[in-house]
Amino acid sequence: MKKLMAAALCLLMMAGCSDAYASVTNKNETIFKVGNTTVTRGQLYSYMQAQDGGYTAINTAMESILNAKVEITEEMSANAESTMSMYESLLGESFESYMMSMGYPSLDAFKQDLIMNEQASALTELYIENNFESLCTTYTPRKVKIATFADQESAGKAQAALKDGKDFAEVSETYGNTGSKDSIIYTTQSSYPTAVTYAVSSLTEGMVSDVIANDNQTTFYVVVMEALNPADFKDEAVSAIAGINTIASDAMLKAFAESGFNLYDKNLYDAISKNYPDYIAE
Amino acid sequence: MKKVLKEYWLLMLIGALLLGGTVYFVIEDNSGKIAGKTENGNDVVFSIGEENITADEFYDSLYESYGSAGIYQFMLKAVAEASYETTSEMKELAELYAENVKANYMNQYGGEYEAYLTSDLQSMGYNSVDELDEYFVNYQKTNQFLIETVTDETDGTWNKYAEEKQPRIVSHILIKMADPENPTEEELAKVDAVNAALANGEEFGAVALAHSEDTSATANGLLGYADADTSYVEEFLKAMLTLKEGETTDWVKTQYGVHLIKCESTSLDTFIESYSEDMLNAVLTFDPSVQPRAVWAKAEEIGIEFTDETVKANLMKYMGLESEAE
Repeated sequence: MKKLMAAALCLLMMAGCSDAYASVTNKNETIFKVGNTTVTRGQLYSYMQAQDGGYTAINTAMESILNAKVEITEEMSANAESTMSMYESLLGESFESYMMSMGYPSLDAFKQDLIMNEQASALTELYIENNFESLCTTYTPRKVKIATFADQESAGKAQAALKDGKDFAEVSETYGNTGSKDSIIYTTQSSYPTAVTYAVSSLTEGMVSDVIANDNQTTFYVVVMEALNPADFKDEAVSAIAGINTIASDAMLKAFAESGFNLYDKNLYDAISKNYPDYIAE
Repeated sequence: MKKVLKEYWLLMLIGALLLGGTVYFVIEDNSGKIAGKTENGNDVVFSIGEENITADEFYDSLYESYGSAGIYQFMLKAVAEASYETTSEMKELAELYAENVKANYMNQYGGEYEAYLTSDLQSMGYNSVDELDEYFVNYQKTNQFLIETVTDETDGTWNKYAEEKQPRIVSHILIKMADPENPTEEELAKVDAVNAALANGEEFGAVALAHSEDTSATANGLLGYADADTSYVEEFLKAMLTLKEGETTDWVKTQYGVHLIKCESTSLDTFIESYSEDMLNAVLTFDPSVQPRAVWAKAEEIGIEFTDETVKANLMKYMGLESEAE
């Protein structure tokens, strides 16, 4: 019984353990002194952490994850160089100072950021490839042509001509299609009126829709369904899904979860919880 | 063993329940707590997979982006603290400023205002809302040595600014007009009333109070500190800049109506006495290098020592004072 009580007491001592705060070595080391005021490494560390709000940790982790999952290709490096050159030609001598004013400690840091963006795009495509079926279920990509008109009469004539089998480009030219003359990949995130989305979801391959009006009857559409099965236009479907604004972040969050991002400092945890809550593993 | 269990079964049951309850309590209490980690005796801040980032490595990464700015903020704070004795007037004014700031933050952020205020104070090297009074005492001290620097003849900043930007204290009387090109009889009558009052010897300020249709009427027409960069409409600004101290324009037409503009003062002493903040803001906008120059000069006067010359060099670069470091 005594041993049981002793064990319980030991366990109770473990209760109320506080959160961990990671500390720099030599935190009391002086950086500079003015008059009677000394500023130490520890004080500067606390200040910098507060300013950062978790950004550097997330960025460092992101870089590590991207380097592990996506090789930096020559094309990526070339694209980054090209963007650097563009900025340099625009900004001239003030290129470096401009970048520093944007928060980059150096031009190398900016170039590193550009390369990371290239890698992130590749990661997104990889994510889409690996989750193609489920993403197609969510976003239902369809290959369509959509003709757009300002008046119902032109739309009606175009619709009749398309149903008659006339060429889309020719019909566009004849009746004044103000929309794209080429195929587009339509998804649930495409910015067309609801009635167009409904039509896209109900057409079979080769079908031409009726004339579809927007809510205030100022714009008229005719849809031609080209392909229903995303596997038949996979590259285009991947590009279209990659353009959906949440996909890149979904890809990165999945990579974070898979890579094991763990925090051992309460201040950093609080900062990331506040500013980047999605990156904290449950 | 069986005999012991049979004899003491109730006690053992209670003991087991106690132990189980304690284990549950400990687990519950500690769940959600951040566990620490070390690598070769150094604290780890975070890890990605097998890769650990220590606090020292994290410090180096953070230093690239925030190090020099942080050292500057700490230096500014330390220099301000050491520059002058804290007077009771400074303390009183600091308390007033602090109350106003807290009220503004409360209005903007409601119950969460302290978190936002703390964050803003931390960006300037202070730790908590408890240091807000201290911040405003140092704010006053900083302004004091900045003004001293700016107006020091050997520095030359004030003369350059004054010559280029022509600062002054300005008042005006406005008579509003729907169409200044075609004033109504009523509008013209108001103009005549102003002219008559001034011709009668009434003070400009009193006439503004009685007749001006601008919100500045309640302040006797006083607009305050202005210079060539003040965002007044072009006709007003142009006319204002032609005045010497004490002079008043003729009626000046703008999109709002017609104005009489008076230059109350162009005296540096008046600016320092009554408009020091406006004046300082204007000069710091004109020449942003004034503040780091003044802070560094004061730091050298008080006595500043760095343990690492690289840190000093980076700081000088950050302040735009590389040539002074050489």
